[in-house]
Amino acid sequence: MQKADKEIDVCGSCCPMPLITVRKAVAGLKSGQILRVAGDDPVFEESVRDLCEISGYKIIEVENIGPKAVMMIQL
Amino acid sequence: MGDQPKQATIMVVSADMDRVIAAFLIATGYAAMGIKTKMWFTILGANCLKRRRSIFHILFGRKNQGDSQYRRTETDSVVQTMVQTLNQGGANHLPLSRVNLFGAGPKIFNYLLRRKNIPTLEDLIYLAEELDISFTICQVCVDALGLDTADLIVSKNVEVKGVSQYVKDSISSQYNAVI
Repeated sequence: MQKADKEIDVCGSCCPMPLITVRKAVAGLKSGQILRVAGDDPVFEESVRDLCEISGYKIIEVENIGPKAVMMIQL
Repeated sequence: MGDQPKQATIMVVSADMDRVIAAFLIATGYAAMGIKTKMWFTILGANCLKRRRSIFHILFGRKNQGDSQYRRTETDSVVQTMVQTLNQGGANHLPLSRVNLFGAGPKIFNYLLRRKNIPTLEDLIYLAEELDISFTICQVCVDALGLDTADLIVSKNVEVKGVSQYVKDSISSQYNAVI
């Protein structure tokens, strides 16, 4: 797994909080930097994928640990 | 559609907590996806933005400091104050459209939301403010219902506009909802 420039954990929060937290974290990063997001909301992975699709970010890696998903996003 | 900037407009006309929660969930979702979002509030829809005040404050407190240019004060009447005392507002005190249980319903609903770690309506409104959603209030509501725009729980991006601005906003939006 590559080294992330910023790591956030949104475990325990429900839709739409993960999306909002990711959006706020992304605002502080530059293009090309990597964000690592961990969450356990049932729709977390889908919603972050949709966010990346609309904003044009690249998903490098997805790791599922039980109900938890850890995603690496490149801006 | 690709080169045109994406925009969403959501009009809130209802004062029921479940409907306003739906409106704010959609709005924060759109804003989180990076789409410019504008929210509109008409007549009773503005109740969710009001700061909860006691009846004594409404009856005897200082009145309407911020928005005198949007009001015709010479046509104000005592009935307006009576309506205000009955129509108190306050985001977490709004009634539900079903299972209101004479005021106990919203408290049970808020308990359920907090237990699931879902933001309640007031938290959603503060989130919306942080996400730069603009709140536009209809001028009719400011004038007829005596709403004080200086006494809202949001302060950023609050405007008072007429229907022509809504037409301009909604015509340039890809998404427009009236809830």
